[in-house]
Amino acid sequence: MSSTTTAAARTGLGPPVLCVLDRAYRGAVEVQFFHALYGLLDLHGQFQRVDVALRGAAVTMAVEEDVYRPSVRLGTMTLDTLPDYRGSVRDLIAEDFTVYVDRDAVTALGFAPERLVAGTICVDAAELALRWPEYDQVWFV
Amino acid sequence: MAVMERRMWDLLLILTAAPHSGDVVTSALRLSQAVLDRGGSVRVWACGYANMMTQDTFGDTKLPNTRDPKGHYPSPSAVVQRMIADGEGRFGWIACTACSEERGAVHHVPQVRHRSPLRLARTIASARQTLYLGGA
Amino acid sequence: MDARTAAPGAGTPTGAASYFLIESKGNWAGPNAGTFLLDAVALAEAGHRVRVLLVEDGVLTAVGTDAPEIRRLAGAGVEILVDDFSAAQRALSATTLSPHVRLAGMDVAAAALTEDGCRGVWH
Repeated sequence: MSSTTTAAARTGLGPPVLCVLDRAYRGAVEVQFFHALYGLLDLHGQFQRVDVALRGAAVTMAVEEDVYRPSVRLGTMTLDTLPDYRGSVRDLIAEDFTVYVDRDAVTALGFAPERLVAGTICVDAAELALRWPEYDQVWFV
Repeated sequence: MAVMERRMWDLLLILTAAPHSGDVVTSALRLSQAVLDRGGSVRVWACGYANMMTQDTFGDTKLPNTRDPKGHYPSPSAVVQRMIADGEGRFGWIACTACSEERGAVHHVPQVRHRSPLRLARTIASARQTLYLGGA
Repeated sequence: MDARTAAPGAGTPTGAASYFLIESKGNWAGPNAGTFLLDAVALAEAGHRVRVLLVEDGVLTAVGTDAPEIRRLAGAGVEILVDDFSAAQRALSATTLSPHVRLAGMDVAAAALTEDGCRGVWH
């Protein structure tokens, strides 16, 4: 897929950035909505283009499933505002991010590629690196 | 002379890993709640950046969620305060004074006890089980 | 021997202890992060009772029908639990877990850690 079709052009002043996320699940109770993908969703309008690559354990955020409930009971409180990881990946797709998912990690964890959130792109690690020149900056988030 | 009986806690969690670094705080609170649900008692000794959890600058709610401005999202300190209140004496939170000062995070909510690290061993001795959750 | 005092040396303990080990990192958290599970194997092979709870990224170690670390733990007689919440967070219902593990909630950890003489270790 060429770079011109992987992401919608944006009007922001910031450079095109590829954000690589290889550490996920960083603080469900304290973070709630304020996780890494929210930050990208919240700020991408400032940039000409922001794309996302999920690697390592972070690929699990792009796997569809129906068991996880974003809720935990603490005292008499049911904290039902924990992160909705797959929902955020769907939001990224809906807002024209390109979301790459590392094929090696998906395979190693035994996930069928068809379980990935619709619209994500499963790529080999080397293939992802070859896409770096399409971006002014690469950030490991 | 009467002998003061020292209170024993069922579980002490020495929480040194930082919030936002991983799900360690979530796990610690879930484990705490599970012990409380069994009728047990839990103390958390916050070391390192875990002392950020209970700063009184949070207020009751987190910053607004721009994608859900009307949503209600409790702050970390509100969660801890709620657990302390609901625990009715069976859930306690201790702030390590040295770690708090080292990180400039000395303004804890009033429900938190301040304790010098020189009292760590004594605190451990007051617990039947201690887990050290490293990462500071 | 005091129930909370480790046996001297590396040989067979004179009094077996009971360990509840919590692995929050595992092989996916970085190089050598999974070494903790080898500690569990060594303790079990020395005759101690060992239970392991995989939590957070540690649950990823249980993926696959023939995960080598899990097979080794099971071979040493270690009971292996996988935290249900962490597994759900990581969509593990969409993959296959080792037949040697079972899903468990934090209530199981709370019960074990409040047993008399149980030693908890968190990694």
